[in-house]
Amino acid sequence: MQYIDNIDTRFQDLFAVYLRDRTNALRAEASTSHLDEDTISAFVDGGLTLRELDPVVAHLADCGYCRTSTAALLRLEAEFAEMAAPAREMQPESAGLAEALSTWFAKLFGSSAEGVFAHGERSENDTKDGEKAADDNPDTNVED
Amino acid sequence: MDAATKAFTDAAIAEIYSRCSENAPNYGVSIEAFSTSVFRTIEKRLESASSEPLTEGEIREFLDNLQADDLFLALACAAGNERAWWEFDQTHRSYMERFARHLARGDADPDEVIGNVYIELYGTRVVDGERYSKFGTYSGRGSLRGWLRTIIWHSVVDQHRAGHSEVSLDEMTETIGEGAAHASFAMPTADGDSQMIEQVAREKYRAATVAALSEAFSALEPHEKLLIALYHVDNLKLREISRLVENESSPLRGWIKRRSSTREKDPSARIHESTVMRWLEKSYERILDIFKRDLAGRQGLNPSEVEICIGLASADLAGPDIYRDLAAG
Repeated sequence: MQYIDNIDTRFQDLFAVYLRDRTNALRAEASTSHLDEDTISAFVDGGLTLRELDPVVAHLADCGYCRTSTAALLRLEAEFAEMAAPAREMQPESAGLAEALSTWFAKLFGSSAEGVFAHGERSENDTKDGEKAADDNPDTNVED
Repeated sequence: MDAATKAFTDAAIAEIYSRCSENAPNYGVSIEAFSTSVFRTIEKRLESASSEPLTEGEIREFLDNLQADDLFLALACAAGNERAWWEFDQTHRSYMERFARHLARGDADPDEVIGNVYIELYGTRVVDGERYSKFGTYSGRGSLRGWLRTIIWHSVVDQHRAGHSEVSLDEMTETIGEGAAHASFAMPTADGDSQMIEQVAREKYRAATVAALSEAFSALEPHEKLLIALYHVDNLKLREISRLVENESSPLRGWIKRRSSTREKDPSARIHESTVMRWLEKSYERILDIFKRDLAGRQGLNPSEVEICIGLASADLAGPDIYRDLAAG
């Protein structure tokens, strides 16, 4: 266990055990009401407003399930911050997945989509052409 | 929401929409769709967060923090806009794949994870005649990339569960996040009459300790409980915790500072691990103080008995000797 300086480590052990027991007890009697993915990611991203923070922090303090997800995402976010990716990534990818997605997109958007979704192959001219084509055929919105 | 606040919100949303629309004119997102999404979040997330009426300032804070372009893209993808999907795929897929690979670590198939996530994002389920896209649940309160990490994380958890059907989610998340078996306050079984006194003594101090810890815990503010739990139960490093509050504009940072009455010499300074450590130290000092006062005051224990209570957790791990000494005294 990691300790806090200047505080009796025995007491920290004791309090940690208490917190874990409490978390497990609350988990056992949980109402199964948990934070949704959007709220957890907004919290981790620091995107919640002050008004929203009160209930979210209170929930996280008590709910081991949501806190475990939050802690895992914080850890991963810290790991990936050091691997900040450029907007257009040209990393090698799984050929199987690329093919599967390409086929899938083609089914969704028609056979021409195969070209459109050839990963990382867009040129400036392609962009202009594509934008023009899209402008000529405005999509209809479907609000979910 | 009163009429003036509604008018302010409408105008602010129209301005944001105009910017997004300029940035991505071919996504086909209407002002109605954009506005409906933002208002839905305001009603569902902001208004319901407190019984106090929502103020213009709170709405402004929300709109200032809104990841508008990400939301615009998500709404377009939810509606099935081909151009938006192209952009999404170009910008995020490679990152998603790397993240899934990192996360899966041989325990799940990253390609399958991303495939499932894409299907979920597009949506194959039809509700009331409309395709249900996962993108519809993105509110723009955090970055789209952060949201995607959360979706992928849950997808990996689901895949892990599918491959370990005998393990409950609680057990699994505990294994992932909280390590293996922990010490607990559960009473060890006495192994005979000769240990009766020891058991009585143990129960006395155990009950006193739990009561004093509860008292101390209840005195904590929610953010203190959360920080301590993240540090000691979920074992996050200070560096990882500090990421939550390092951004000057982070509402959580302001929220904690307000509650902990911390004075800032330099408000624009980054919050480092040492700051988080100081917050934790401060909280712990208070807990320890309340704990000791409760044992000595309300429960009338003397200093050596208080020491026994403090040593209880390690005693539970090490065996019953401490109680034997006490019983002998």
